[in-house]
Amino acid sequence: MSLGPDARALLDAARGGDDPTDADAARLRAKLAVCLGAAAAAGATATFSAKTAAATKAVVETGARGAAAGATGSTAGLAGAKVVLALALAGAASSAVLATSHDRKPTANAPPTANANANATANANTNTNANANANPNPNPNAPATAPAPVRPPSRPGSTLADELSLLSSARAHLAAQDGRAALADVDAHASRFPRGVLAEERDALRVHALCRAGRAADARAAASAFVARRPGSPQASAVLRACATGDD
Amino acid sequence: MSASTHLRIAVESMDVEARPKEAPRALPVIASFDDVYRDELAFVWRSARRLGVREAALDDVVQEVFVVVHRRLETFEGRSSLRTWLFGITLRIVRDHLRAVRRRGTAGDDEPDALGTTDPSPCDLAERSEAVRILHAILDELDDEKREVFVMAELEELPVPEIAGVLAINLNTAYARLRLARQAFEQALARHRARDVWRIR
Repeated sequence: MSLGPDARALLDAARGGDDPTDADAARLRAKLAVCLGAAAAAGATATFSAKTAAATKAVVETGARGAAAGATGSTAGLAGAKVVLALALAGAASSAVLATSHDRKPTANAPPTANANANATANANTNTNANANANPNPNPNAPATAPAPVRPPSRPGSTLADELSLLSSARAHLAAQDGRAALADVDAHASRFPRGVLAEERDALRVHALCRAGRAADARAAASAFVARRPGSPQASAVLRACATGDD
Repeated sequence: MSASTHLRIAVESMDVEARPKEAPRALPVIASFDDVYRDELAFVWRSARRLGVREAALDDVVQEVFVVVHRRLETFEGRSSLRTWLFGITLRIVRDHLRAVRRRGTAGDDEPDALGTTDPSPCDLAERSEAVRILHAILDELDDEKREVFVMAELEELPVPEIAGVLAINLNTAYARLRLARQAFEQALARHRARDVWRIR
């Protein structure tokens, strides 16, 4: 049998209705960019060096193993994607990966790309259950925080790359134990992209940066605000523990 | 496009140029990851949704699909269409996801992810056509086998032989399953109309 006219009419009426919105596409692209290395998803292919490709591959393969574990174990089947994101956001390796993909220099303290592969592999072997920084749901409603250092205005069409660049820089500062510099990047992101695609990552980073800067009380207040605003965030527990784990 | 894909294309191009002209070789067309993402995000997104992934989990599922695509794109040999290949990846990941959701004993709407910001806003819901909501409701009434074949054949209009390949079933089985899926869809639609909820015309 084939479908009757009513069913056909319904299908025709609904056919385009499930496509992602522009916001969906931008959000996904940002997550993938973090996940795979910015060059892979953000369209910047020219600077994707062999070394960064190797580091990215390690991260991606970790995700595949995580996915397999999620499919067969007690964790959700999507653990793999979250693990990738956690590694990408948490690892100094990915900071190097992302940093190489943008024209803005991240920081003087960014780890050298040559170490990226080793770092990613180490993470892959030890952090398959990591979810501390996994973030499937960036919140576009995060309030702006001010004041922020002056940054050059973003170029048209480069918003996502700029967002990534700032947060990668903040990560690199954190890895280098420089909470104040990380905080400056976080503030800059909040100022320029108050409703940015990566606002949730930004707000989680702020808590860690405050801890690292020795501002434990502020960090705890920011952590409480984060959890209140995003009770379902997979980063919530890590944010609440940020200062308790020796970061301050 | 990954660096290695770039590299492979470059190497193969050099090979062809160095080879005597009387032995030309058709190069496989390797789409770049960027191209695949740009062109096929909507296809993967709506397919995952129609296969049963809830709004709150769509981001994660679609992201996982493209992570796999990124890893495997170079192994795509063009024996099926790109869309069929993508659908196969999407289908496997959606099945894993739905299994995990069902193991947790929720339909997906109540899982923690639903608290996230990927929930449709009231504006989104107002804009979403009633036809789409009815379509989802009817698809939810189909069992997984019928749902999969119906989405592929009737919504994405993939050729039945390729559908059979994706599902690893023989062609007759695929046609039979599609026939049953259409029947089930019509019956579910009739039930919806009987409840007077179908007002798209």
